[in-house]
Amino acid sequence: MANFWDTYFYMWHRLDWGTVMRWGWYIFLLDIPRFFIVEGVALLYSRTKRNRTKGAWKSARQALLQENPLVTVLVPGHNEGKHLYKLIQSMKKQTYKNIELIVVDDGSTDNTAIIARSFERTGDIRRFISAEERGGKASAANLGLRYSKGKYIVHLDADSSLEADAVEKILIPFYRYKNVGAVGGNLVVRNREQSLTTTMQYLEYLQSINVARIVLSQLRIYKIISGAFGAFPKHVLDRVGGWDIGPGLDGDITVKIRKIDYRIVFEEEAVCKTHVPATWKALTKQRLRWSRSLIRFRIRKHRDIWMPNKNFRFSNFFAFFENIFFGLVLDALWIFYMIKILVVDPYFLVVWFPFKYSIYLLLAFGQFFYSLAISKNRYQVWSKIIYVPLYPIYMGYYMRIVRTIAYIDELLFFDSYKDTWNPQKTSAKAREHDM
Amino acid sequence: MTDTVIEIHGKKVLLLEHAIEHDVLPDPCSTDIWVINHSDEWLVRRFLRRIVRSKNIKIYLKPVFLQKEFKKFYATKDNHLKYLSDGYIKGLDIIEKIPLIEQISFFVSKYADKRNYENFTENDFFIQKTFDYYYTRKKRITPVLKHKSLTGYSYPRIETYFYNNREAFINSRMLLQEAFTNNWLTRHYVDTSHLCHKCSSGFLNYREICPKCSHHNLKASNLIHHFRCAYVGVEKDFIFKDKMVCPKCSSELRNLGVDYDRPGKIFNCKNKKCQHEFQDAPVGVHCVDCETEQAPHELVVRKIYEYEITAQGMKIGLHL
Repeated sequence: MANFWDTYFYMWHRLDWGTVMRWGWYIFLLDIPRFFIVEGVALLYSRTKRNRTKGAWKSARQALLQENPLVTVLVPGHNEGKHLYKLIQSMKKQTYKNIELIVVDDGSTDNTAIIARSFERTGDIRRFISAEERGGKASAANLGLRYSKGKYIVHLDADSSLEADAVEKILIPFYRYKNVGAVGGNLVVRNREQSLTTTMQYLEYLQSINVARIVLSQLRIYKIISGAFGAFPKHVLDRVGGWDIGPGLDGDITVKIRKIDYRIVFEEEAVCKTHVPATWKALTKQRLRWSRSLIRFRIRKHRDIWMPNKNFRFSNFFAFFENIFFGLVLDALWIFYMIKILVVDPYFLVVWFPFKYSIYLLLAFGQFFYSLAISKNRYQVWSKIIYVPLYPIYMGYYMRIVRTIAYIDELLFFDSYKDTWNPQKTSAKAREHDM
Repeated sequence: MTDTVIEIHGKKVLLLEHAIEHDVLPDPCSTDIWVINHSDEWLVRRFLRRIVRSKNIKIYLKPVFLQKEFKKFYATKDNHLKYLSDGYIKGLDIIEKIPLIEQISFFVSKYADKRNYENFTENDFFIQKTFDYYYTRKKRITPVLKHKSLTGYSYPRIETYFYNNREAFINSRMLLQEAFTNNWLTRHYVDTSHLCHKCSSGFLNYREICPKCSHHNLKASNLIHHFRCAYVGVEKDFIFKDKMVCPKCSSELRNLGVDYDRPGKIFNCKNKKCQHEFQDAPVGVHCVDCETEQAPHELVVRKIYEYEITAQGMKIGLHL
């Protein structure tokens, strides 16, 4: 053991910073500034601002409770009958009471329809709409929207469960700020104890959803409202025509709302506990799908965001730029340097791996302490600290490889149009019309 | 005026015409068989009912035949005349019926004088009469479909004992039920019917109703899913002049299955105060006879049986 540390420190001692900068400049120029410095500053700024404007938040809450608008909780799903009981329980516990729950069944092949119909009869579900023919998530959501009566629509996945004040909290930003077109809720991994896969995702969600979205929202470049939990004014959804064909429809609709000049806000206090894939295989499948939609929507469908025409908005451009740059470009760079080292100086890898790992581990701890700082349930976060050393490998290698495969896949083979997540009839049309 | 009597195969056959017209029963002892020789359905039925309702064993057991030649005049759907008689013969050809005729006359001659109906209740008498008839005919008591019957099924001969529709329905079922519980009859399942829980009528109107206001003027419309833009709505959302145009993306819907499909149905309540939209329409049942509104689960479920005389029942028939 002592020998290991000796070698390790010897490495640091012998390190030639010139070589390091040549191979890894992006770590110091891009990753650390973005994920540590910018994030830290923005987080601090947003925290203090929120503290200072407590009064305004309070009166926004008052305004909401005074108006007490009808809120539609819209839950589209395919074979989700088994989750309905828990969903209804979590609806009943809501502090906000003027809710209509609409469940849309997208061609389920199990007994979802029977379960949901019986809840409709007891009144636990205000309206259950069933499409016997499967049409994809977007069509189910739109069908629900067609029959929604609420002033605001809260979009929810059937397997997510809300904190008791989540609906109230996600509505407050509409009264706090002007011109809000959508509010994204905060997601916490519910099944974090199930497997290593889910624990790692718990850490990831803390960082990439909780912390990162506060920052993105602060910088006004927040661009994905998770399908799991988001709120929209109905007239805004009607104006953009509801959801378009996915996968990635949640990111897509957020962009559509941004395009018509609405502000998108993240509300960290509106907490939704969501169920994440428990095996690496399922997680990989999910992330391939998510990452493909980056190419499909950011580069293809919404390519007009990049064009400097009369509809050009700098914030939208920057949101896309940040997304593409830190997703696609950095991945390409990472692979390029990886291969270059292998070819030019493979012996350097012996130093390079431990060095890079050390740097990213520090970064991971830094981010972990950010999450800890803003967390309400510090004990729960703290108990996962022993998993932080795995985080650089999880994010730096696993996620990066999955992402890169997805990008190449989508760029060359348009694989998102073959995803069985959508029925083929709609994917064919989406491809035909370049959606 | 009296009716013609002819002799065929040594049997005296009475051709009934005047008796039917004047609604009088001829003397049962003077002839062996009665043949209906009249074309007026209503009069024939009146006459046959008289026979069935008769208290004289010689009359109600008398072999009575209809003639095929007149069948076209008895043009009703129910063909009920057949069930009140011993069926049709053609060209007065009775040779096949002779064993039956002899059997009946043997039975009548053996039991007619022994019968003492004085201490019989009306119900006992009806049972006796029924058993006499079905025993001599070697037939089962079969329900027949009849649209005038309260429940759609009828036991024509037994129901004829009674004078109004409702009484006939209730009493005939009670009579059969009693005979069955006494083990004089066995039964075989024929059908199941649903009846009004208030008046036992089977003449019911079923229609989908609004789950909110129970109104039954509903409009069903198809949901349409436009594949290209994922818009889903009812048909009327898409109607634009004489075309179907998507309200979200303004493109025309041309081919079912390629551009769009119909994933489901939605009902619209046409009650102006309600206008509820829903998918799962419960069925409401309206009784045409007593106008009671009820849910399908409230209906009375009745099984329809065919009955057969048991060995024990035969003892009653033979009056042992």
